Amino acid sequence: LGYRTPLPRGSFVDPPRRQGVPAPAAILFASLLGVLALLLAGLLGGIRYQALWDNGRAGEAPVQSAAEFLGGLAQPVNDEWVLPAAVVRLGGSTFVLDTGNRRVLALDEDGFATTIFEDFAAGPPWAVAMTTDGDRLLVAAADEVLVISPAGDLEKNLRVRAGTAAGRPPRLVGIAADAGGRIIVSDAENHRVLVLDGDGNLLSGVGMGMRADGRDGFNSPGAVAVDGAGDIFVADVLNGRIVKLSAQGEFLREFGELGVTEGTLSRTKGLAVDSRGRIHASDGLQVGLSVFAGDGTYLRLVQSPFFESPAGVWLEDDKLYVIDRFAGLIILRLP
Amino acid sequence: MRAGSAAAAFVIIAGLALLVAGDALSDEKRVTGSSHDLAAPGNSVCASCHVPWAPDSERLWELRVDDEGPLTGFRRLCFSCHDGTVADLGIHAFDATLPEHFSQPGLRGQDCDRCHDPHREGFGQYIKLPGAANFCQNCHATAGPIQHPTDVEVVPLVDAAGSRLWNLEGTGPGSYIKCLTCHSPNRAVLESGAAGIGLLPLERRPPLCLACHLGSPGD
Repeated sequence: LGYRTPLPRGSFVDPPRRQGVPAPAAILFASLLGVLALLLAGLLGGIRYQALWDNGRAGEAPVQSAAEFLGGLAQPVNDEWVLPAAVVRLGGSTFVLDTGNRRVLALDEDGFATTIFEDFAAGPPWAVAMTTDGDRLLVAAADEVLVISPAGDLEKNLRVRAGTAAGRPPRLVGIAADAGGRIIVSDAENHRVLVLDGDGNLLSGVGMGMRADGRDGFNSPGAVAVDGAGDIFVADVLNGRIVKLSAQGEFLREFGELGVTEGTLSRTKGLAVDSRGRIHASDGLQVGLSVFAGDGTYLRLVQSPFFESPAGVWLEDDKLYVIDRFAGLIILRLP
Repeated sequence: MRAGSAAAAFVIIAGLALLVAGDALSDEKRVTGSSHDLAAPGNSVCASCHVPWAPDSERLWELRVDDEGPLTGFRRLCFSCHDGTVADLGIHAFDATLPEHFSQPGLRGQDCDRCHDPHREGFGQYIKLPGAANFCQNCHATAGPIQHPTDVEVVPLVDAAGSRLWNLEGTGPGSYIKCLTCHSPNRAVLESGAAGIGLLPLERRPPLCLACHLGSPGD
């Protein structure tokens, strides 16, 4: 899989390490402790879904209760990103939005980065998705959607001109594409979700152009995702909920509630829907991933000592790629 | 006599309670309509950052409070919006690669709230006190005049507005320099020879200065 560079560089993301114990003995000891802890937790009526990794290397995590740790990369081997915000997999490669440096990086399997695109004149890139045909990147930056090839060629620059009565230009912070080639973006500035055709023309929009709740409103919409049926999921960040819309933009369901405890939503930053219809929502304040069933039932919170501020997430098969604004790339295997 | 004491105590306690309640009410009123009024209409403006069962706490939304790392103390709560998504990145967002003004994470009045009060927008950038141009002086003036590396004396009437450094009629000896022209309390750069002094990143320093000083300390 690659990306097994130990998270670190002597920086704040160093995971806690044991000192003075030979690694195999420590692993065996920790594994025994982990099994005992799991058994005890099970006997007491519930397992707390918290991944406890002590060294950041694949296959050595002593306790893996909710998601298996597959690898991580605090920084590219040959470069440094600043506050990366989003990640996407395309054609077997990993692409990261290096938001602080306004560029798109391609990572190879050894963790080396290549800058493929950095011409973000309108503003830093915030969200990335894959085009419907799976061949190109869709990048949201300020009021633009850029279609970029894996080699970094800019194929389209779609300026979203749908302003509001208040005259504020869109500020796009979430993006997804559906099976029909439509592009769904969230506009945090105007509290709307817009559906665009492949050329950036506005097809429909949901939202009132101001902070709102209920069936027609959003309050700072963020990440968006599309499930296998074409339904749209929107992180309605400041309303503390996830809204499910039909492909036509009709309100279908909402779930989650604003709160600070496990099972609530504090500040949702990334969204992904897996093949079983489960929704994985990264949360910057809860410092973890809340997982919901397709009907909105809360399932669990996945946490990790590595997480500092988890943001964009991307699912490929059973692997969840999480980009953390400070800790870098973390890859998990879903249970 | 006892009845009088009880009545006096009641009045005092009631007065204190009203003062506390009044202050909280003032905060709510101050936030309403400001850029920190994040609630959808009909919802509590306080609830975006505070949970109702513990209104006195400062960081009620943080499940994890770190003593070290990039998001210590109150920063996790601030960063949850000031990360470029809810609030534009143009507004200060934490960059862990650059130093910040000294603070004591999690201590009320010594963290980000040393300079900022999220309830009070009126002084600009949620600065706590009026007199924006001379804000730095509230703390730094107590050190007395110091010799500036560029040989400009920092006098008690420092103008920190970040406006132009020079006067149209010319700047003579003893004229004051504006702090934010070269320094930054957030996302600053520490360079050798400038220990403890946060400078603006090179690209944000005034081109006029760089024309002579080349951007290197001591130049």
